Amino acid sequence: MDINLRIRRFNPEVDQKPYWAEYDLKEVQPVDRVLDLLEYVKGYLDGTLGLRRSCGHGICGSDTMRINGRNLLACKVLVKDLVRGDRGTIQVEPILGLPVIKDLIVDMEPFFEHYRAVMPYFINDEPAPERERLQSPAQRARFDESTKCILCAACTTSCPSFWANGTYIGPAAIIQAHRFIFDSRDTAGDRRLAILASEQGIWRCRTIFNCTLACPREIPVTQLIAEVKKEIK
Amino acid sequence: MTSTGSLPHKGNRFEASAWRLMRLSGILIVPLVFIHLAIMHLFNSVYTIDYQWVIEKRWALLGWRVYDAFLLWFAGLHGFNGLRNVLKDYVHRQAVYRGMVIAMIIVMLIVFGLGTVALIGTPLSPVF
Repeated sequence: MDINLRIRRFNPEVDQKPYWAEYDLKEVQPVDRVLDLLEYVKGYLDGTLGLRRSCGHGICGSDTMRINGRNLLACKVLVKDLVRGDRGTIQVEPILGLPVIKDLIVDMEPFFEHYRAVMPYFINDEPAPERERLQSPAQRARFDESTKCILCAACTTSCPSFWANGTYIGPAAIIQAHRFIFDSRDTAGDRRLAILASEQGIWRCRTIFNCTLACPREIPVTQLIAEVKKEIK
Repeated sequence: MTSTGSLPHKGNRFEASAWRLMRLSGILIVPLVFIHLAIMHLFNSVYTIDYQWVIEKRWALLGWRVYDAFLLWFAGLHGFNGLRNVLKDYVHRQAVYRGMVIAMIIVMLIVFGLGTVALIGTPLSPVF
């Protein structure tokens, strides 16, 4: 297949503003991943292209990009899922709502700042029992969905509320809070709920469902957010 | 995009109540609005609806006044609270946001006041 790959590029040291760079790629395989195309461009056509990637298998969550207008992991989406026929265009942009550092690399710090704000770690000050803290399968299942988050930021940067207001804590941080609020062994649920009930917390969610559509781990994000909302009295 | 640092660890009971109001009023205004639309635009029209029609056909019955009061208050509160949330999303300067919310509340009180005066103030039995 022939693919016209359009990449939104910006180098703050050289460019006045972002622009579209186009690369014509020949003999692309339908089962190639978008990440393969980007690495081909970086390896053979233009080594100055900036992008993040690590595991390349949809686990580390570092190559989230806006591909054909949707937040996707470049390592999980195949060319055949985007282009039908022998030729087509694929458009790749950095995720929205976070400052661009270079090309497809954004500054993730505001995202992780919101993540840290919900205390995304196990809290239980009671003395530890002799063996482990036991939990029934049903108690474990209560927060199973929210354990699947890989912090790729696809949900938060697909959220129009977050685009409009970068101080909104965002769906990813709420999912991380959900992970511990509904954990029977954790004792800081009320503190996390108080954080989420603050001015820029969970109430900025408008139930738009972009987060659910964007999640590469198929977490029902909007549903989990609603579960947390119901816990706030 | 800017970030504010650590989020304030302060609960906000008002927002939780407002969210519940949005859900409750959202469910209620679906039948309220569609029945209203059917009455005003399918079974009647702008050629038949006038002040006399409202007083004689609708508000002669207490039930329709209660219905219209529900529509006024629930649709109004839902709409104005929705607008407040939109302002909160897009107006980031606190002073400007406050000013706009105060202006919105004044408009809201005028709309609710006029509507309530009409609902309560007109006599129950037909005057014509």
